[in-house]
Amino acid sequence: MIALLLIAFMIIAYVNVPPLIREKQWHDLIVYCAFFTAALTLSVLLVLGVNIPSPIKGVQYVIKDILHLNYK
Amino acid sequence: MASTTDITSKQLTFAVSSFIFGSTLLACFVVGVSRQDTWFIVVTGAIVGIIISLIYLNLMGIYPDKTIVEVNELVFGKVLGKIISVLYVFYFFTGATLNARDLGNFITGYIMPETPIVAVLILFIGICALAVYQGINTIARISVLVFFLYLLGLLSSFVLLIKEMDFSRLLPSFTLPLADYIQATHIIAVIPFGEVIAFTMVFKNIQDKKKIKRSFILGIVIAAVAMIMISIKDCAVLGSVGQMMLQPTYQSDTLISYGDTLSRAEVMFSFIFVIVLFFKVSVMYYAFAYGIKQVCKVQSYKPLVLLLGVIIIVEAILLYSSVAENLYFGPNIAPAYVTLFAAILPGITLIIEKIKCTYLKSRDKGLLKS
Repeated sequence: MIALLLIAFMIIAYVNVPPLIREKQWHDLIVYCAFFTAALTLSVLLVLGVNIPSPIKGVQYVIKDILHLNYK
Repeated sequence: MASTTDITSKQLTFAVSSFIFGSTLLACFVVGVSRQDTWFIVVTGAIVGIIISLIYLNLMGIYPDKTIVEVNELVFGKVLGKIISVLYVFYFFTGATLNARDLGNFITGYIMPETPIVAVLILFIGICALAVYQGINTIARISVLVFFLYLLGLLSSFVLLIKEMDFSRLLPSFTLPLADYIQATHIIAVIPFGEVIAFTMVFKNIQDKKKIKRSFILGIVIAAVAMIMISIKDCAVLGSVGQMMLQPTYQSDTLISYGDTLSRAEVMFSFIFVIVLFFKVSVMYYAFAYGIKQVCKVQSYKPLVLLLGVIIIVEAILLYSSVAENLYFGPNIAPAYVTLFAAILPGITLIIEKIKCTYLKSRDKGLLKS
């Protein structure tokens, strides 16, 4: 399953990165690499079964336990 | 010559309506609270929703060529503006994720129960990514098709269910406690009608800036009428049983049966649901991608589309461990969360902008006098 994931990410990188290098858009490339790392880490962790906390749980915690703006 | 990113104000009306149509089929949030008075709550919620939309319509009218992300940086300054823009981008991200998860729940709950939700999400987000990659012009052109498909499905299911309707199931009216009405109006005013703020990322692409307000509010009104029809249909057909269901619209369509030929019409509903949710997630996904482009000051959002899609898929899976948590989030937490982005933040931005304008005007007048 991880092999499929890595192949998919390699295809995505192969499609997207050469045009960026050709046009010499270095700032774009840096932002792209940041998002690439983020997406890769998140999906690998998900496939490995690691329990990643979701931001919606964070939102729920802030609204419910800190601000008490929930209805029930 | 119109550029490839121009969309007409008529397309804006269709797009806004199609976007809100996506929320009309997720009535389960509010039906548990407002029960048989849902149709009335839609009316009050739509009025409040239109009032809220006037806030950010006026704000975007001051800066017609900017998106809400750029407006934040102009009004609040660089640092605070960037922080608020990141919050907006996070809001569009959660909008896309929540709706994608809703679709995943529907498909794996009703249509294909043995399928893992990942497969459904990968296919779905893959097609949304293609739409976003093609650009907002393509999405606006799709909106016309989605609009008419939805209306066709709505009218046909309404007509086909007339023999099952018993309007006495809509009674007793106006007997619920006032707190329930206020909560239900709040839910309707923000979840269908407040999420439309995603379109503020699109206003700069519209040809005729003067017609934006009119087309936008017309789109909201059309969607409100459709939503009233759906809530009346669901309540008249299902009665109190519908208030316990996750998808009352889907379940009411299962009751369509004319002899042996016309049955299993809920398939029609599921097609339309998927198409309409595809449109909604595409618009939110586009707002997310375009917001990232403006916050990170990248030249084009197109290389990032697939990566953002992967992040949306992963997040949609991680969102809740069960559907029950989703059902708690919708009516209880989501109103406060969406109100912050649809009403409070634009309201604060508008007030600060007006204060700045009057301060600068009086300063200029003072300079001219001296």
